[in-house]
Amino acid sequence: MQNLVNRTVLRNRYTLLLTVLVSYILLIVIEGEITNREPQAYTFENPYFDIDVNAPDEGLEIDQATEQNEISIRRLFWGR
Amino acid sequence: MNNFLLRQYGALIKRELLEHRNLFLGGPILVAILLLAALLWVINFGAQDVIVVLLTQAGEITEGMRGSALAPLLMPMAVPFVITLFIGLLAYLINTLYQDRRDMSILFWQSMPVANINTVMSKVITAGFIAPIFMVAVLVVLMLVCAFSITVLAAINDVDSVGLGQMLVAILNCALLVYMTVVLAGLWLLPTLGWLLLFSAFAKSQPLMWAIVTFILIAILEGLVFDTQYLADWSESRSGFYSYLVLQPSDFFDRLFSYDMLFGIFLGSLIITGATYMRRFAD
Repeated sequence: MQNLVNRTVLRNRYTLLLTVLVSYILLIVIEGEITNREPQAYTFENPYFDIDVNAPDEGLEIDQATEQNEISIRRLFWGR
Repeated sequence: MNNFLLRQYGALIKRELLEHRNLFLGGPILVAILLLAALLWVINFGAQDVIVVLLTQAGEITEGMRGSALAPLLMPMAVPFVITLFIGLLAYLINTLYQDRRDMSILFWQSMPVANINTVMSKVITAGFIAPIFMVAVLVVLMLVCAFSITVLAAINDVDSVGLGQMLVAILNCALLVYMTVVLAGLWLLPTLGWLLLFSAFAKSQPLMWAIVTFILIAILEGLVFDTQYLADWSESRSGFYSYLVLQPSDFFDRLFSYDMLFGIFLGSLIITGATYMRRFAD
């Protein structure tokens, strides 16, 4: 097994790079298929507030569980 | 982990710090000097009545707040330091293994009883855990100077301020939160970190160009071969800072043990393993 890896994957720098890149992309594609991954940046997915730029009319919804942090940040900008 | 291995890691990390002290310490110090100069300029040449209004408003906002509650409000001060650290780490990671091959020091290190995995891991540990310590230390010094200046200014202008004791608690809390955030950012971006190291170990010249162009090419190839864009979605999902922002200590463990974080660490480990094996092929 070790000989096989040495003769194929570790043959030269290019075969090693190709192996790493193929493994990386395959794992990402398989994981993406399983979890139905979608870009999160547009929805700003985070535990502090919910905002979707695709539906701006819904506005900003503050999560009650993190109200304390939100109040601190709001005070910083707008005062009491 | 035995004593020899610990001492070996200690020596390897010390080597990284000595070779890159300007990057890890010089960068944050330069940012701190620039911010201090800006603060001094505002104190000396800013309109005094505006300063008094700002101090009064700050006093009203923070009235009755404990030091630990104040800490997240100080965190924006760390943003220039974090940006500087990220730029410095980008330059460090893309050059570190490449430089070893270019100046032939890889031959010296490979003749020593040091495994390639230890050399690569010492660079990962330096980037992810050690460099942020220097950044946070400089940030704390700057915050202490600012806190002292604000307290003196408030006393001179007869404005109620939080007080140095509460400020000190807030600064120490803030330092902890910033360190946790930066460490989590390092783990969250471990695939990127590994990617840079892989091409640093691979490229015969222009490692940064290799890293960027290859990423773009395999994103295009993914579309052509699988008719999907998971690599682009994956990269996009890791671009938001909310996933590693720590506003209270308990956030650290919530984010550390999230699915996306652990999967990212797994993928990062895969690429770092590739970078380690790549060191076999010294030019």
